[in-house]
Amino acid sequence: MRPAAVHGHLDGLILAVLEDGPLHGYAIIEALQARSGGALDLPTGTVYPALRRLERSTLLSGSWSTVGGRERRTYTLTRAGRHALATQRAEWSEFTAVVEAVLRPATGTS
Amino acid sequence: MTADPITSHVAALERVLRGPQRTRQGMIAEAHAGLLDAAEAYQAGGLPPEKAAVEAVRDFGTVGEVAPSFQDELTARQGRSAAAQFAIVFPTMLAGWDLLWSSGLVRRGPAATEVVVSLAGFLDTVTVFIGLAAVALLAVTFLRSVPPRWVTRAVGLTGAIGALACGGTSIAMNVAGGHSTVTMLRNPAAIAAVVASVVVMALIVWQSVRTLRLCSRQPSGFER
Repeated sequence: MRPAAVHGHLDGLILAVLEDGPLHGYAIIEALQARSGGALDLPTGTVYPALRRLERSTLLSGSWSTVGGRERRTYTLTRAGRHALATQRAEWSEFTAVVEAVLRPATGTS
Repeated sequence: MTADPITSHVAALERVLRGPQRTRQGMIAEAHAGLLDAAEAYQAGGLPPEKAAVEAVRDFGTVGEVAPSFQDELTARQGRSAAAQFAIVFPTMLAGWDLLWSSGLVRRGPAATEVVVSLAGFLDTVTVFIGLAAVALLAVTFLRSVPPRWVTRAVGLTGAIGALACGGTSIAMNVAGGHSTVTMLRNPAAIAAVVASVVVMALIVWQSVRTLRLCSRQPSGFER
């Protein structure tokens, strides 16, 4: 999947992979790739500013800790982040349902 | 001997970024750690160390691809920091002068003229307005939907306009005060307050210019 196709959805994807618990930056990238079956082909360097943007918007909280002998910033989904994720899921379901209905080949028409 | 690809890439990214030092260093350190993690993952998959580092850098993206989003975030942080400072400094200056007058430490001298009273009222209004604008802009920095560059530029302009309006009105007020100003400036407490106000205004101008300059950095200006 091209990076342009992911643009606009990256924030929601990040919130989704953090739903199960706190992760550091590279673990988030791995989780994104694993959950997409390797189809997400975006520059991994774009994930770090996105994490900071979500933190600035209070959807994530971040803190430094030593993981595996290396200083890493670990992110946790906040209450506002869970709410934003639920909203994004609902909007996405509605959007895909509408697009699918339009794209589906017409049947039974004369 | 060639430089380590990860160290070189991180250094190249750091060179093009501008903004609050602590946030910049934190973002760079985080990206560096992520690149090392990625290289280790490639090594675990069987690649030699140098090849693994090259692959990690390739996945990360070029400086031209990733720097604009890093810079946007740094610009946003600068805007938030400046907005918070302005939201505190302008009302504090107003409260500080009100406290000084009401304490009796400084006497006004002869009765103030109508012009001085009008200017003082205008100064209070401008200060409150700028303080409220800074608070509103600070709140906007929490929204993801608003482009960071716009908010940060608005913060810089708010500080610059506030400093010019408050500084200019204060000078006009003291000039119009005539003998009353001379009387006031014989008081050490008043002199200390004036010096402190000048220093604070200079810092606000400096912070505003710094903030506006950061906004003038366009993402397209990065080397691709």
